[in-house]
Order: sequence, then structure tokens, then C-alpha cells
Amino acid sequence: MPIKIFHSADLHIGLKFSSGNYSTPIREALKEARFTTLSQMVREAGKRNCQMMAIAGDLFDHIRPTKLEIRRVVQELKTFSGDITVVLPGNHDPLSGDFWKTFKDEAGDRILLLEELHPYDLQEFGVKAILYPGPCMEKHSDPGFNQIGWIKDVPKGSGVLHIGIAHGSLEGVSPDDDKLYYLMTRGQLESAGVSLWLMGHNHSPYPLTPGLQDKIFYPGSHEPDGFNRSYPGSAWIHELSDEGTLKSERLITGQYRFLQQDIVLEGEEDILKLKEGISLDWEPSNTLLKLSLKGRLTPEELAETREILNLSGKQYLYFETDEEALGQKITPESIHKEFSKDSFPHRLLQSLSQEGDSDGLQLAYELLQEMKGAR
Amino acid sequence: MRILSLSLHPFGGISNQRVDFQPGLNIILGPNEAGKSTLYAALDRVLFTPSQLAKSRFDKEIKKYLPLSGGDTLQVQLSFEKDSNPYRLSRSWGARKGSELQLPGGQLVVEEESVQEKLQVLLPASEGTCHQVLMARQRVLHETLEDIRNEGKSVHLLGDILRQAVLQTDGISVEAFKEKVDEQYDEYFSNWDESRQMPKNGRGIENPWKNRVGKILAAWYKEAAARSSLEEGRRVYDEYESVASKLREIESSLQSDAQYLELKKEPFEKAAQSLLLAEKIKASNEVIKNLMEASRNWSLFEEGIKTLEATLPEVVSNLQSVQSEYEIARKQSSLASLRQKYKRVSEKKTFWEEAEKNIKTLPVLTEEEFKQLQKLHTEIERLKTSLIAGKLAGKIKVIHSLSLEIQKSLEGPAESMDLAAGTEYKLEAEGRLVIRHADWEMELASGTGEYQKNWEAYAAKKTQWEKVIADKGLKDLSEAETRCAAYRQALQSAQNAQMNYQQELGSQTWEELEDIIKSAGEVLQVRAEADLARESARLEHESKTMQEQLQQKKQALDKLVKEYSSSRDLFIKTGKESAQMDIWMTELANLSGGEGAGRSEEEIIRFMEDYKKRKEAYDSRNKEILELKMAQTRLEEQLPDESLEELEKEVNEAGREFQIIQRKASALARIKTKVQEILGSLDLGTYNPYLEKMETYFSTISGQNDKTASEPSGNLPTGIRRGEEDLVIPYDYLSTGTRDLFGLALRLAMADYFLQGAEGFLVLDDPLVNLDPQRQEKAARLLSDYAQHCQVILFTCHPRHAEMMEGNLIKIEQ
Repeated sequence: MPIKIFHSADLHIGLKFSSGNYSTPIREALKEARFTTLSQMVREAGKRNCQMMAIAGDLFDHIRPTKLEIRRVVQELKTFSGDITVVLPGNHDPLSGDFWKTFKDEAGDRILLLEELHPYDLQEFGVKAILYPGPCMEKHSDPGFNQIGWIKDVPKGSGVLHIGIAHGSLEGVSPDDDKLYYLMTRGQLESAGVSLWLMGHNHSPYPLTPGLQDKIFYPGSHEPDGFNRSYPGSAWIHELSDEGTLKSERLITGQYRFLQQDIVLEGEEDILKLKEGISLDWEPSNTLLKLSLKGRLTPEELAETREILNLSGKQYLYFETDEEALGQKITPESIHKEFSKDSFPHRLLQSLSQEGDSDGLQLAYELLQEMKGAR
Repeated sequence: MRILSLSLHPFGGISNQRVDFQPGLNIILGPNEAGKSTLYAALDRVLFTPSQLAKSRFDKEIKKYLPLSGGDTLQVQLSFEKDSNPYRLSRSWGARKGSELQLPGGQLVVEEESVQEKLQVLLPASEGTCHQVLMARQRVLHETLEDIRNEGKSVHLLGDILRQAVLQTDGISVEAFKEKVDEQYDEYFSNWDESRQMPKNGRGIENPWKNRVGKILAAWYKEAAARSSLEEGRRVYDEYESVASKLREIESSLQSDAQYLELKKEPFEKAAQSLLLAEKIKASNEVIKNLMEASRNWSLFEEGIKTLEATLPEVVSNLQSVQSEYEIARKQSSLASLRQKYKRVSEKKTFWEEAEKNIKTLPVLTEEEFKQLQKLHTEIERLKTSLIAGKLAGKIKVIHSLSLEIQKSLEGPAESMDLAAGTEYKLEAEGRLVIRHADWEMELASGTGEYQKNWEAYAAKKTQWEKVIADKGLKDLSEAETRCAAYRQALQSAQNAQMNYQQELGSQTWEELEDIIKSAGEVLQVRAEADLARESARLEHESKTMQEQLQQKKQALDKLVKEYSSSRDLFIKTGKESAQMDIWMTELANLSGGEGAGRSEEEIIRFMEDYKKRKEAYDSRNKEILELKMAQTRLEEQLPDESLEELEKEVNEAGREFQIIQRKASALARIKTKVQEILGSLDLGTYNPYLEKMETYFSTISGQNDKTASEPSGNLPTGIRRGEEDLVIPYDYLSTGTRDLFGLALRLAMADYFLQGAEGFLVLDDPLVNLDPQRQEKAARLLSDYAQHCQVILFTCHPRHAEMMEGNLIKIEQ
């Protein structure tokens, strides 16, 4: 009989979103969503008749979660209607954290903390599988060191499924230049003798579209956590047959989405496009949008652009523009047009323009405009 | 460019109107609200506002001119010529928008951008210049002049004013701009050391500036604080990981120890028990041995006491007997010795008595007496020597014979001499010469006057000596010395003999000794004293030894009695101890097997020591674990609330903010430098030709050719000085309406400056309105003259002003 596994990781419960300019309500909403999405995943796993729910590391964001956070998480996991929930310590919530004691005290007998480097036979829980975990002991590993080396040497019997679960970076996929995040190679994973690898660490899903040969899976965060990750929150449901045939389905789990777009504005046409609206595949009220605007516009165009952004920004949960690269279109012609020859502004702007001092030109122009406006 | 005509169809309140212009002065006359402003706006829009507009610009520049009566399109057509070539520019805005420029050959340019490009070339000046100078409202120029006046200089050179006016054509005061830049510069750079890229005086976040924190500094502090939090977070994390790693390492290493200790716990306990039992058995063996020995000793002590108590009295009796005999022998021996002493003392006594007798036979000359004699003799010799020390010599020449008695020595007899006449007689004497004649006596003595005194002393001593010698029966000092020595020797002999006698006698007196000898009686016969002494000592030792032994045995027996009460009890106790030992031996036999089986005691001890060592190490490591766990808990509390990734993000964000602010500050610094450069590079000479024109224009309309100057008043600028000459244009002229005159002159000069002889036009807005009638006329003449070389389009609502000027009058009806 095949087994179905709900595979999540990198939930980072307790993440504070202290960087960024989020307002307190947004910050609170983002924090809360990490719980609510967990709750939804647990329900979804039940609905989809998953026998096992696997969390492949970084369930918590740090090693000092509050007791309330631990209890809330455990309470959610306890509602899983399948046979067993397994939780692997990741590098953000490594085994060195004292809080795991509290977690285990709360967990009961259907939530299993995978803390040892030895096989966990799940048959006693009604799941015909043996798990081979690679838990993180600390935040960082020794360079190039990982926790899966022992697995290949363990004899794998037949009549039961062998599944690996590990947390760390994957060579060629995850950025880990210093090899401090339990770096694993595809070769090491594939030679371990298991039918499926339930991985955690990458906050973006991998692979995006699984092939028949794929057996190494990262679900990504269940809720995205920043603008550097544009994917929506996700999880996998793996179905593994007795023969080891794997069918994996990626679920979109997250409530919120961080999106970042670069927009070039060079004239009326671009402004019109902007006005028509930014194309998003996510509900705007659940979107955190950051636009990096680039280009040079006339003062009128610039004002119009700002007006459009001001209006359209309100529909998003969070809206931020980076206008560092956006400025007035100041050319020798526009200087001639606006200022009389030999006047001070004319001389100043022309000189800065001739020297190619774009920043100086922009700033001087802004200052001159301010002074004109003040008259 | 010269304007030929302007058609509005429609534009603002004008639905359809064409205005034709002449090359010289054009006066557009109309009451307020008649449409002069609309005409001005139409001219401005057709020249500078493209048809294709963003909504905001359309709203700002065009929308208000949409026909009030309805309609959605504005249209203006402008005919002009350039270098005698005709052009026609048409523009429409709104629903039907478009631009069209007809070139001299009839060719049409319809592309908006092309139309703009062509116009740039055809316009008399840049769009900015046109707006700010050629088509400016007079009000703008007045504001510029006010700015110049408000800059606080008491006297302005005309060249300065013209330069300032040109610089500030766009209505932006250079000084105000400089101030703004300085202010902003300060806002950015306050307390920031740009050269070292750090806070001034190195005041970092540990000692930050509290006041005047510039934007760069604030951003730097923010980044430094974020970085510090991150570093602190990393430090705590690293320390936490190090503790956790150590903890895990120890816990892991303890696993095998824990297994060993668990496995060997029972064998260790058994081994410990068996060692304890062995120890007990060994001790019990010792106890039994002691009990048995005590039992044996008990009877020995009893027997010994009995024997000693039986034999000891006989030994004591023998000892007493020998001691008595020994006492007698000792007394006899002492008496014999006394008798010998008595004999020796008697002999020495006799010898002493003989010596005493001998002394009495000798003439006495004591040592003292001899010394006195010796002293007297020495004194006599000394006096004699001094008396004879001076030798006297002389001669007597005898003239008449005579007899003399001459004494030549001290004591020698006087010599009688008869001396014949005519002879010489030589005399020599020792110290004293006495010559006596029957009639006289002459005494000669050598030396001083002491001689007589010495002589008398000598004679006295001599007499004393002779008496003493005679009394003692001595011849001389030598005999005295011999007699004294003999007497001394006899005395000495007697003393020696007495001493020997006394020594021999010792402390006793002769009488005591004599009494003892006389009362001693006869000599008794006993054994030799030495034999008796030996026998006595032997018996004394034997007795003492026996008494000691008896004492010891009694004490030992007492001790046993005290310890065991009785020999029966001792026996019972021995039995009990043996039974206990049997039990322990049985227990020990039961413990055999397990760890101790087949092992020697030494091996068991070695095993136990090894076990103990490992247990101690295990306990110590457990203690270490406890300490590490405490440290871990402590560190866990110190961990930042945010994850390191979040802290890193904060650092990056703060870093980016800092960079942006620095970039902007850097641009500001460049602007500041650039402003200085621009102002420093301006050449006053550039304006000289226009300056002269301005003076002419001003003189023409002001009539101030007498070049009188007013005195400074209050804080206001006192006037305007022309060049370095003494002409000061009083400020009064500017403040009482003449300001407009000055403004007009300045405007015309500036138009000349910008056009620089090119064909152009100047739009003026009611320039005569504030002038007195006299000056209005002059100004009107000036403008008419000016229009000779530059087209002037003048808007006015005053018919009288229009009449004053000779030109193309265009009336606008309301």
C-alpha cells in the first residue's frame, strides 16, 4: 500500500520581520500567518489522507521560541489526522536548543522529534517506512560537513520504504559558499539508498516541476518571508508506492506573497502602462509589493507617476517603491527651455550636465524647483 | 524672429481674432479683462506648448483656456518672419490636437518633435530666456531687484546689479540658493568627518554625538548599531554553538563510561564487600591471637608473681649484710689515707718552721729600704754630675810673688801654692775653683746662680747617705743590694714552705688532723672494699630487677583483669570472636565468583581502583556538563530576539541607506563647490556694453543726468553707484516709483544682452503705469527708440500711455 507524505519545511515560526519598514499591524499579520498557514497545511494533509506529516527542519526561527509559540505549534500538529508527524531540527532550531525539551514534553506520542542519527522505524505508528534523519546539531556545520554520511552504511531491508529526511544546503542549488550549512551533494544523497529525500533549508521550492527521476525535494517556506523570495509559500505531497515509485505534487500554501518588480519609466507610454496596473498573479491585498523604479521623466511625468503609484499602492498589503534610480529628465534642451541663458540655474545645471554628474544634476534641479516653488 | 500676426480661434475668452503686428513698437490697448492676458498666453502657448501633452501639463497650461462657450479644441496661429523669411505656426490642443509649421517655401512640418526642433532654431533666444526676459512680466523683474536690494549691501555697482539680474533672471536668488545648499550641507555633514569617513573626533556609537547629528552621521550610527547588534549576536551564537558542541562531545564521550560503570557496578560492590570481609577476618584473626596470648600471659603473670614474692626477701637480706660489711671496709680505708696525710703534713710543718728560723738569723734589709737607698744614691750622683759639669780654665800672671791656697775640685783638698813673680800659672777646675789668699778668697763657679743651691743639696744628701750606710753597717750600695737579695730569698723560702704545708693540710686544721689520728684506734680486718662494692651492687641490681619484674607482672595482670575481668571471661570472649570470624569466612566464601573469581586480591584492588578512577572522571565530567548547561542557558538568554539572518538584513538595509545618503551628500558637496566656481568665474567685463546702455536708458527716462547723489539713510541700501565713479543713484528713486524706471532700463539692457543683436521681440506689460507723467513721456520715447532695433509688443490698459508712444496701436474691445 502506498504511503502519502505531507512534506513541509522552513516554517520559521517566531520570525519577527524586524528588518524592512513594515508597520506593526503588517508585521503582526505576517507573524500570525505562519501559524494559520501551518494550521491549513495540517488540515489539508488530513483531507488528502496523508499518513505522515514531515517537517524537514526550521520549524522554529530560532532556538528561543516562547512557550506559547511551542504550544501553539504542537497543538496544531496534534490535530493532524494521519498516523505520525515527524519533526527534524534544522539549523535555525538545532538540537542544541533547550526548547526541544519543552517541545517533547508537549508533543505526546504521535509527534516524533528526529534527534538521533539512527533509523526510525515508523511501522509501530502504522507507516510502513523507515526514516533516516540528518538533524542539525548547531546553527552551522563544520565546513563541508553534513549529517547524512551514516545512512549509506545502514543495511536497508526489503518490504519497507526507506526515506531520508535532512536539513541543509544542496550543492549547486542552495547558496552556501562557505559550506557551513550542512552542505550535501546530489551524489551523497543519491547513494544513501533511500527512495525519497525530504529536504529543508531552501526557502524556495525545488524542483519547480519534478521529473520522474527526481527524488530530492525542498518544499520551500510555507509562507514567504521576504522580497528576495518571490515564490509563494508551498509544500509537497509525495505518494510513494511499495515499489518505490514516487509521485509528487507541489501545493501552494502561503497566504501572503512578496513580489518585487523592476519598472523602467522613460516616457508617457511607460506611465500609461503603469497606470493600467501591475500584473500580479496574487491577490493584491495579500501582496507585499516592492517596485524598483528606474528612468528619467519630465517633471509632469514624474508627478503623474507618483500620483498613479500613490493611488495604486493602496490596494496592496504593503507597498514600497525604490526611486533611487528614478529622476527628472534633465537635458541641455530642457535646461534651455526652462531657464534663461546665463542665469544662475542655467549655468549650474549646464555645468553639472556637461560633467555628467547625474546625481548632482538631479539634486541641484530639485533644490532649484523647491526654491521656485517657494516664491 | 519678428511676430507678424497672431490668430486665436478659439482661445480662452476669444473665439476668433487676428492681431497683426508691425516690426517696431506695437501697443495692445484694452481695458482690464478685455483679453490682453489671453493674447499674451496665446502667444506663449503657440511658441512653447506642444499639442501632445500629458494630462497634468494639459490641465496646467491649456485647460483653463478651453472656450467658456463650449468646445473641446483650442487653436492658435502665429505668423512670423526670420531674416525676412515668412513662417506660419499653427497649433491646436484638446480633442483635435496638432502642430504645423509652414516653412518659407510652403513646406509643412507636422511632426511635433520636428516642429519643436525647428522652432528652437527660429526663436530669438532659448525658451527659458524668452520666458524669463523677453516675455517676462515686469513683476518678475521687480522681485529680482528686491532680492538684490535685500542682500544687504549698502551700495551696488550697476555692473553687479546687471550681473545679478542676469543670474537671477529665473527668479532664483543666488544667495538664497547658496544658503539653502549650505543649510542642507550642514544637515548632511554635521559632525561627520568626511576625509576620515567617520564621526568627528572619532565618536562612535559607544560615545555618540547627541546634538547636531547630521544625516550621514545618523545613517552611520544606524548602520554601526545594526552591525554591532549583528556582531554581538554572532558572538553569542558562536559561543552558544561552542558550548553546545562541547556539551555534545562530552555527553557522547560519557556514553561508554556510563555503560562501563553500569556494567561493573555490581562486581565493584561485591569486590568492595569481599575486600571488607577479608579485612574483617584479618582483624578478627589478630583479635583472637591477642586474646589467646592474653590468656597465656594471665597464668604466666600469676606464676611469676608467686615465685618473685618467694625469693625476693632472701636477696634483700643478703644485700643488707654485704652493705654493712662494705661500710666498715670503706671507713678503714679512709683512716689509712688520713694517717699517710698526717705524716706528710708533719714533714712539711717541720720544714716551714726551719725556714722561719733562718730568716731570723739574717740582717734585715727590706726591699723598701733598699729602694730608698737606691733612690738617695741616684739623687747624690745626679747632683754631683751637675756640679762638676762646667769646666773652668784660666791663668794667673804673677807680678809679685805670693802664696795661695787653691781648691780645684768639689771636695778635694785645697792645694797650697807659692807663686813666683813674673811667672804664669795655668789653672783648670771642675765646676768650682776656690783661690784663697791671706787677704782674700775668690770662688769661681761655672753655670748660673743654681750652683750654690745644688752644692748645698748635694752636701745634705751626702751626709744623709753616709749616716744610713753607717746605721745599716753597709759599705756601699752594692753590698746593700746583696743583703737585700739574701733577705728576700729567705722570706720566699719560708713562704713556700708554709704554702706546701697548708696545701697538704687542706681544709682541716693541724689540730683536727691530730685529733682524728689520735682517736682512730686500731685497724679492723674486713674483706676488700672493692669486692664488697661489687657484691653489693650485684645484689642491689638483682633485688631491683626482681622488684621491677614483680611490679610489671602485677601491672600486666591488673590490665588483663581490667580488660577481661577474669580468665574465664577471657576464654568466653575468645570463643565469641572465633564464632564471628567463622561467619565472615562463610560470607566471604559466598561472595566468591563474579568479578573476583580467580583473581588475586591485588587484581581485585587494581580493578576497583580503575573503576573508582573512571567513576570519578565520570562524575567530574557530569559536573562539567552541568556547568556547561548553565552556561548554555545563560547564553540562550543573551541570544538576540531576531535571527542572525534578520540582523544581517537590518545591517544591509542600514548600509544601503547610508550609501544613498552619502551619495546624495556627495552630490550636494559637488553642488556647493560648483556654485563657488560659477560665481568666481563670472567676468564683470562681459556686461560692460550693456551696462552703458542701461545707464543711457536710465538717464533718458529718469532725467538724472546731473549725477547728484544722496546721503545714506537708515539700514536701506543707500543707492546705486555707477562703476567706480562718484555717481550714486539714490535709492529714493527706486523706492518712489522710479524703481519701475530702473526696472525698465534693466529690462531693455537685459534684452539687448540676450538678443545680442539678433532679430527678436520684447513683450512688455504696462511698463509706464507707475511713472509720473514727465517720466512716462520719456519712457514712451525710449521705448519708441528701442523699437527701432527690436520689435516691442506692449500691453497696456491706459489709452494715454498708448497715445504717448508712436507705434502700431492694437485695440482690444471687451
